[in-house]
Amino acid sequence: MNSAGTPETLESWSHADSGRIVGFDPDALAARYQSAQQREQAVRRMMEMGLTVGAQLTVREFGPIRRDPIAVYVRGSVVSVGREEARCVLMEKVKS
Amino acid sequence: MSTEAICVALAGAPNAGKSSLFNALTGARQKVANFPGVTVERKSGYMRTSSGRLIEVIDLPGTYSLEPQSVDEEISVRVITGAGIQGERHPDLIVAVADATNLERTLSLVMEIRALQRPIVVAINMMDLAEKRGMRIDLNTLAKELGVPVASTVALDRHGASGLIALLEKETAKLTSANKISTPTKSTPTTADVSKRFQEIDRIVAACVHGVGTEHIWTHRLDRVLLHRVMGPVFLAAILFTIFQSVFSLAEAPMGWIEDSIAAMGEWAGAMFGETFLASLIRDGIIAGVGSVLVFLPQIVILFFFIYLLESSGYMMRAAFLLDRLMAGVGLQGRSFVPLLSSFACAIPGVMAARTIREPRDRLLTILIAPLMTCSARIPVYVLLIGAFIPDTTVLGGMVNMQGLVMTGLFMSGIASAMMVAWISKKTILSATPSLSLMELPTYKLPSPLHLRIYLWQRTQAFLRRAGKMILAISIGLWVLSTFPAAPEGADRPAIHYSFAGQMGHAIEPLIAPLGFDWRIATGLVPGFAAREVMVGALGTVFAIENADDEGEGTRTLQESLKTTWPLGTGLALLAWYVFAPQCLATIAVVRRETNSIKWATFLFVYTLALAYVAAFVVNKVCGFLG
Repeated sequence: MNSAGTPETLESWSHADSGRIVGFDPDALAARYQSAQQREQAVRRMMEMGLTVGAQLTVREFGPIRRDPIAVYVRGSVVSVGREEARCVLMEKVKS
Repeated sequence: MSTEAICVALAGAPNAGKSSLFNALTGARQKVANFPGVTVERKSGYMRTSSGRLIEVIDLPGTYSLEPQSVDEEISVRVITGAGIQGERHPDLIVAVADATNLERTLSLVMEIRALQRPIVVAINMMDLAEKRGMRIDLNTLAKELGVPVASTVALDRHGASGLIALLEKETAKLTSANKISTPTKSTPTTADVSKRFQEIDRIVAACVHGVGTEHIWTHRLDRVLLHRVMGPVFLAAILFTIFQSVFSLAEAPMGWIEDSIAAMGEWAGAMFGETFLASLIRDGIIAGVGSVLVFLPQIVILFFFIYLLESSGYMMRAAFLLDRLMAGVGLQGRSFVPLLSSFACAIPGVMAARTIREPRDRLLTILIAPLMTCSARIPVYVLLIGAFIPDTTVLGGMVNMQGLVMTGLFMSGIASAMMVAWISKKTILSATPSLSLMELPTYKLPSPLHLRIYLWQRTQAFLRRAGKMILAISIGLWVLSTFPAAPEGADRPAIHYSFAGQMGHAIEPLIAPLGFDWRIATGLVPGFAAREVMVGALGTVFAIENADDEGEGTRTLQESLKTTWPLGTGLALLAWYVFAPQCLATIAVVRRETNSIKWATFLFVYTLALAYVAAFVVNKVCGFLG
């Protein structure tokens, strides 16, 4: 999934950034989940919350401590994603 | 068909408006119980179709997918897939609820359920809101695409569910025993499967939804302020402050009425039965004991009123968002905030509210620290002891009242120790990989008065039933302990001195002597096991009767008695003891029920007792050292 150069992660985005989810990098969660199966399950849960590949996403707000979690608008709802979790979401910015 | 009512189960993602739809279908007459063997709430009710067929409706806990993440979701999934739960009947038909304003996400569970090939009806809920936002959903095409019957609903009253009711009438008539139970054939989907499912949803939505739906404009506007990094916490603090103020100030009057009625009932019982043991049992045992818990009902109802507003408006998840990082630091999650907030009124509803936490470990940890929040039962004890031992002076140049400062300090020590216990547990006995930080922040909605009424009524009933039964038994038990055996003829000490409670007090005196506690405190601690504030009454009994022998001393207030009898170290140690004090059997019993484990209830009792002992010991020794 990590092919197209160095894709940005959701974690690196700032306020009001907008774009498209291009993929997931489950290995970004390696520090927390040792098994590949757990990492895949984490990614599946994110997809079930609407963070699917191809979906449009806009960064809304950041949590008060260490800008964690990140509130994003995706597939018609506002979803709060932890900063660590956001590291495995690969993004492509849309120039506005 | 058998004479047994047909049973349908409502399934859907959280925030799809499933509970409102359930209220609309069944009305206020609902039964709240638990699923067999687990403490997952099972809400059920009955509805009649236009032809008069009776249908039992079960409201399943919300779930995003058929891959369960929590006990609640596991129950839903077992019922939906037909895997079943021992002692729970299989529903004949599943009503899969999707949110019309958010089909592109909520259809996911519908698609999963559809694939099970069980009898299913799809309810597209909140149709009115979708139309208001410029979306037009073509139900015929949707039904054709999904290949299952579809109805739209507006879940405000029964009228808004009439399309669904008519469809249920038609579909339940088709049921035969042949298609009642199918064996589950479900394999864990891969991320590729999920991806494919959402592509299919995108195709269906493109075919059925006309007009570009705009985002709920108020959700965006409010979030800009309420989720703001600086403004958000400020608003949260203001909201919490308002809730606390209201819980204590609004409850004052009704609590007074309840206290007066209890006193009147006690007098009535006294007059009715004379000075007999029966009168004493009814008055001092049952009425006083049950009354001591009943008196917190106003605070609990007011607190639940606010919790409903926060929950149904969508703000609760915003609070969880703001506190998520803070809570994660001590091993909790944003959602732990609700049970901990409830525990300031009483730990019993707080422990029960922990059910909303998905991960079992986080739920357990929240339950274990909830009793450290300063519940309202501690306040009478604090007021008595602070009045007796803390001078009514001002400090910091007359800005701050010393007594108020100590009261605030006691609240803060409770919160701080809860966070410490959570942090230590995270590092030791309850270590686990942190749960995934992923939450839906639902659109803001106006709370509905009808649903508020149903909610408050159910919470009140649950509290009375759970607390009532236990308190009744405990009160009678403690009355026996403090009444028998009676004082011997010509006894020169108060009757309680000779009772089992008094004897126990004397027996445990050596154990608590290092804390500066004497047998009187020990005797008060025995009935204090029922409810903490009973300690005040018990001390009153011990001192009042003792002072009756002392000529001219009878008029001294209890506070003055305490001040002259005990050194400062004892008073402060007792305050410290009550920050942690485990003496509340009702809480221990609820923890046992909710965790379904005697082990954890015992652990709670032992660790709070140990904390109380150490804290009281340190306070007493420090006071002794400082002279």
